[in-house]
Amino acid sequence: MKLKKIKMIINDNDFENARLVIYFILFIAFIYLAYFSHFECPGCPLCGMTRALKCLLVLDFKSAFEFNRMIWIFCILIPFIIIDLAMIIKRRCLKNEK
Amino acid sequence: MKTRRTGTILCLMGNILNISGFIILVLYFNTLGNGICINTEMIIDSLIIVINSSIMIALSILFLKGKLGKELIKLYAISMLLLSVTIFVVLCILFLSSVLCCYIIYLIFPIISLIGSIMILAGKEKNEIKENKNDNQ
Repeated sequence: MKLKKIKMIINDNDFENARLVIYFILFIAFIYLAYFSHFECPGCPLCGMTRALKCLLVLDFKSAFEFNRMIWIFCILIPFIIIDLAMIIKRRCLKNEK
Repeated sequence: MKTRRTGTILCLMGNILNISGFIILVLYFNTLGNGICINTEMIIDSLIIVINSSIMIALSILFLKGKLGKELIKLYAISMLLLSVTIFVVLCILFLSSVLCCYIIYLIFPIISLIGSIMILAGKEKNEIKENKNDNQ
């Protein structure tokens, strides 16, 4: 019963729209942080994350972990987001066919 | 009604991410001694953020469960907008007072909740949509 409820929530149209908006904002924020923001940070736990993410997108895991060890969060998040987006697109295509 | 629901979900997700990320980053990593010391301004700002986002989460859960009456929806939308604006302003102040990469990343989540609250405010009720359709016909 709980699984069915979770499936219902995930397949909900509003929840799908909300997720799409969040992914879009995250994508824009990443582009802004990676290419347009230039400021000097005195040193925080997230320093080097953009460089690490850039390495991760080219599948250079070694240098990604050298830049920031917390990149493992994105190692889990990025495939999850890609799978979720694919599922949403598939569901929308099926709806249009019907 | 649908846009209001989407906006509420956006607000809910943005605030959950904000609270969890902020608690982990400010209260946990700073105590490990990464070269950043906690000052009173930081504590007060983080407290304001946590309280505001917990109120927003509670309100959005109430709306999703349908426990808010039709009369209260406008008040709910305005209060959500005000709360998200205050969170955004407080985070901007925090970012400007100590320029750290982590705070500019945490500006994303208030932006998500701000967009959500604008969607709630702009959303129309079913009756209004029907009236508009009738007028067009």
